[in-house]
Amino acid sequence: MSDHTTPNKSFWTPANIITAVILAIGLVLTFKRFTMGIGSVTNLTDDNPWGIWIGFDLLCGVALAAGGYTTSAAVYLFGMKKYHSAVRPAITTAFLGYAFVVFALLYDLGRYYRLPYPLTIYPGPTSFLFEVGLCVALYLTVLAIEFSPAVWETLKWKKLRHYAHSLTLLLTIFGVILSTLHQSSLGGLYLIAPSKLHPLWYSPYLALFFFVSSIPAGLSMVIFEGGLSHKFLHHKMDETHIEEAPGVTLGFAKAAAVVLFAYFNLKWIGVAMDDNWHLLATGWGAWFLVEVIGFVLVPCLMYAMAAREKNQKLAFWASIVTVLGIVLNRLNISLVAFNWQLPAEVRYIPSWEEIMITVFIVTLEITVLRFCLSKLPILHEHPDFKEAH
Amino acid sequence: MEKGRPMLRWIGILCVSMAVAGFGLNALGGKQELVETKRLGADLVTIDTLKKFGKLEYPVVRFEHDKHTKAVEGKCESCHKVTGNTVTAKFKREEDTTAAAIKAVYHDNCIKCHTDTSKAGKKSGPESGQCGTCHAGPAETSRTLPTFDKSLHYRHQSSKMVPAPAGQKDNCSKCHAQDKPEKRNLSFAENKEQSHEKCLSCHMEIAKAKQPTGPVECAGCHDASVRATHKKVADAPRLEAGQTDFALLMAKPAKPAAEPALVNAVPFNHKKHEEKNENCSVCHHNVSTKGLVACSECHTSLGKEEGAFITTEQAMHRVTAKASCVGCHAKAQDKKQCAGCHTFMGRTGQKTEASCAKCHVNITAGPDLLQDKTGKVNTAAMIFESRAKADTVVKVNEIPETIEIGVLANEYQASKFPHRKIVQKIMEGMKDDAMAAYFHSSPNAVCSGCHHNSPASANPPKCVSCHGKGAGPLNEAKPDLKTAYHQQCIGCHTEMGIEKPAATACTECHAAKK
Amino acid sequence: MKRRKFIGMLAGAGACLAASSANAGGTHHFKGYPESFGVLFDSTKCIGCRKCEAGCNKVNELPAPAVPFDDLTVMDKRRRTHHDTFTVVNKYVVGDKPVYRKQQCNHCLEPACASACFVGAFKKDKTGAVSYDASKCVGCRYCMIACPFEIPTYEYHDPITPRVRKCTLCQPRIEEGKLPGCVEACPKGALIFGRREDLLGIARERIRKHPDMYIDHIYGENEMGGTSWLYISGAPFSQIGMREDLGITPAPQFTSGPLGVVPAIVGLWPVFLTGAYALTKRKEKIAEEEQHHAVTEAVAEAQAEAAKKLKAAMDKAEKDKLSAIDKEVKKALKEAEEARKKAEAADAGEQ
Repeated sequence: MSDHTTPNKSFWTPANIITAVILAIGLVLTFKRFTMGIGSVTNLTDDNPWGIWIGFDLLCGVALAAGGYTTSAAVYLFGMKKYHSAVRPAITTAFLGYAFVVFALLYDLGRYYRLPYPLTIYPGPTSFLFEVGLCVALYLTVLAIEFSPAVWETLKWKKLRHYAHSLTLLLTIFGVILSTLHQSSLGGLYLIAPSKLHPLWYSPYLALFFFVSSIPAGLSMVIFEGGLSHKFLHHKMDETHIEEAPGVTLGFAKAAAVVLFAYFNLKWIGVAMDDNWHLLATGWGAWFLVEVIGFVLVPCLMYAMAAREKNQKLAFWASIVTVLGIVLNRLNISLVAFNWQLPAEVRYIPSWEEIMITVFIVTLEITVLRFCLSKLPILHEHPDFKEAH
Repeated sequence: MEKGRPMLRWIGILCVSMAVAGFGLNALGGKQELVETKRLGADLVTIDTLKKFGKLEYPVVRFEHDKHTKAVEGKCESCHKVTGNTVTAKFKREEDTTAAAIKAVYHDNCIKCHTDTSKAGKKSGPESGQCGTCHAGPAETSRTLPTFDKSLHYRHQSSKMVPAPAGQKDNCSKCHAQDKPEKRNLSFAENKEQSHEKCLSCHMEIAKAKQPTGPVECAGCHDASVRATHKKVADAPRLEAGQTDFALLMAKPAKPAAEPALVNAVPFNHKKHEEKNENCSVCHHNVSTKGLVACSECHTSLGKEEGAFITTEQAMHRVTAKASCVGCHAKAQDKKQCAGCHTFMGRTGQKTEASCAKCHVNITAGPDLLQDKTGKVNTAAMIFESRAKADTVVKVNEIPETIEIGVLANEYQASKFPHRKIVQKIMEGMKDDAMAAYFHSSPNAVCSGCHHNSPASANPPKCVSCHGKGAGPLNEAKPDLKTAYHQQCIGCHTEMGIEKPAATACTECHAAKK
Repeated sequence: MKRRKFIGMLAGAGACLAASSANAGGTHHFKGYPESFGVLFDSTKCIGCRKCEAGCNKVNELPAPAVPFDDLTVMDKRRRTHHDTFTVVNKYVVGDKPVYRKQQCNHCLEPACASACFVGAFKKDKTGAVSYDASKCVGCRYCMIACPFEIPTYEYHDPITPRVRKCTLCQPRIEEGKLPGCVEACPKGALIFGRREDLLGIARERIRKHPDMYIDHIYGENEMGGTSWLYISGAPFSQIGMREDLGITPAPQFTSGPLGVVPAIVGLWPVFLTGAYALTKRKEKIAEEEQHHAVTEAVAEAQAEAAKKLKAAMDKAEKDKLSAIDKEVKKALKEAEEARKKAEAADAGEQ
């Protein structure tokens, strides 16, 4: 991962040192998990079967990888060509995001080697988890194909690249369908347990909430990563990317503002449907208000202002608040408001090993992402394949 | 764009959000919650007079009477109208007129007094504007109703302070609507207000004469701990109302003297029942409002409105009623020494012909007997004399001392069952209990408590005859042998409050196998 | 080729998803397999001796517990099932008396775990038992999330073959006509085993016969759509650790409606999205045509303008040329005239 443009820099930058340490600890913990069982590295119990590996790695990972389908839909289905340069980075983030979600899942599944079972020999179609598994598996395939042209271009395998590229439209449509299904199904997972989820978060509309909130999540990740790439990988970006970048940021900011506002309204409709207004006056209600007002309404307004005033910096900060809001929402539903009725002594707090493994997976993902962004024609067009879109 | 304007916009948005949140939360949080207070005393009066005019706008008022009595130094006329010797229970009025008028009476008078008192520098109650302090809703109170038992009645009847009116021998008419006991009109007061007026007026009159008198404060009658300090007369004499010792209860046929008795008559030992109960109203409920009337006056064979459509049959036999024969007897079975057997026999008892015959006797009653009161009394007296009065005789020596129950011995050794001791304990619990003695008078009746569902016998069949070993059949939920033994033994112990042997102390009943 | 493949994949996905029991508007109400078994627990008869726990442990060959079963002090703390404990008895103090309640899988008529399992490892058998097939389990633990009674447990300590563990209603034993281990062990008949309908009848009769001894409710008759394990009690159920807010909707009904939306999305989204694409393409085409049109027009206009200018310039040039020629001719004539005059003057002077 040496940087060819500055040959005097050492490989062991501070970022790389930290990465190496995390990866080392992660490998040790991985070994522990697979030789001594899940219980040896987590605080999961019979009362709390799902922890941050599901709550964060899976739920947040999938929500934040939604930039793939939103960006490609915008460009290929709604013809917004000025966002074209954002497609490849978004697809890369999405592909790696989903790939590492599956990777993280292998830690959480008791019998990880049986992961193919539901999609092959033992389907259980009454389950929302089946829905999630099927659609994530298919979508990962879609993303792999959509991502592959960058690889084929680097390897200069023209024919393969041509085939992969020609599937773009179909894959985009298929991708949106699959994304709608699995994003909403992740919310649908919790529909079966109304007695365990606090009424302010449980709603028959859970699936809809998850889907609608995944849109600004994806858009915000594109803005966020765009901002970071602009700062740290500027030299890897070509003219088009640099020129289109502000347009992407501000255009997505506008879209995110609109969808966040719709999501904000939907949340209140959810409260109204079950007449849960009186719950807002409780402690849980205050927390709900923090999530909905502080992390949905506020970034919505931030985005709106940023789009109007063409303020990229504000849009960048808004994207951070939105992403935190999505993470907060997923963690609330899976860990905080889930099992709210249990006494405090049996509530779940993740162990340091669990957190460390999550950090390990995320670091691994970021490392691979850095590699891809540096080595593959994502932030720039491959000289041999210019204009071949 | 200047730097200042986005900042201003942010502050504006924040202020609006906070205002909205504040309003919203305030509106949501205004749910009417009952404020938890400590339990108030027996003097709590819940003022809900306006309830009869429709739905109340405010929570009911908590009024602590004794506090106010002390504040006015016992001068009832400060709040109540006094006519002659009678104090009206209503506050500052004699009649309830309109809702607005009643509300004004309360508000104007209460608040004025409070304001005046606080102006005089004394500790006072809530004043204008402090609505919620008075209108605090219902509260728990320690008030219980006093029972005017024989002892209390005797103290009143024999009191020098309650002289007989001129020209009468007895002082009954001082309280009751009659001058002779035989007239049997025992009505006293129709409702709570009247009884308060009557009792308190008399007590206060005597208090004015500076003689020892009954309570004038709420707690005096309504607080259980205060009542416990009242003197109790040990052997209070019988309440005289011209009643006979015995009675023959016969159902009134529809056409007098034309049809035979509808059901076999029940000889009734009235004297014995008087001894066992506090006062007449235990059975003759409503006696203080309606006076003493025969049950069948209101509880006719077909039922009528005065009797809440409860028929004669129901009035005598309803298991859940306190005032019915069967109901009261069933309640007696709750006593610890009875519950061991009776809990599992069910409240409805056995309902066999034999159990009906315990009360209903088969006598050929001529049509004249119905009208002949003396004849009925004599008949009843005769029947009671002829019944064996001795305690149930169980030949205890013929009961084996211990029985070894080894039919199921597996993890544990055979159980050595102390049969004789247990029967003796049960017999002890029934000693001096005439009701138990009578109802258990048929031979070996007591044995049926455990040796159930088979004819009473001194040599009952083995349990295993009906309760098979092994897999429990589900016919009529007849448990298997192990369950049957444990349910019978442990059940009885639990109901009788026997703590040793504990239900979970297996080896105390059967030793473990080595 | 690619289009067909795509449609084929879509159909396949749709078929898979349509196979889910989308019961959105159904009036189906499953009352249990006829003749299926159940167990009636009567808490007024339970003395908390824990013999049922011991019986279960023995019959299922579970490891011996750390604290032996005759130690009754363990009940002072609330316990739950564990991977080596399929059933527990808990003690509750109601009024001033202890009341005991046994907790184990309730073998619901429409089990949440069976609905939630994405490999179908749970099955509601005809015997009434909800059975678990470890050979299918992937270890996702969604069943534990779904169960409203918080019963399934997991072998978190096992790295390779962890299983979900719960009461099996002793299915192999009941198929042989034997009693479940706990029922057989109970000395007090607090547990009775039989056909669910019969147990309901017995429970109702007991409540009818002793109305002051029981709360007038059979827990499990309708809760979560009905369970095979029924409870009657003298103390209110909420005071003996049983949730009374679960409702009567069977768990699968919470998800069958939303799952029914999936095929609708698969059917509609391709239409909407392709439509969006088509509309976009149409818009682009129109925009392109308009642009082309505008360009052509602009070019034509520019050309006409240029031609006009050229003509004007040419005319002017022509005029200039003619006037220049004129001037030269006049000049030449003038010079010629002057020259002749000079020549004539010279001639006259000589004579």
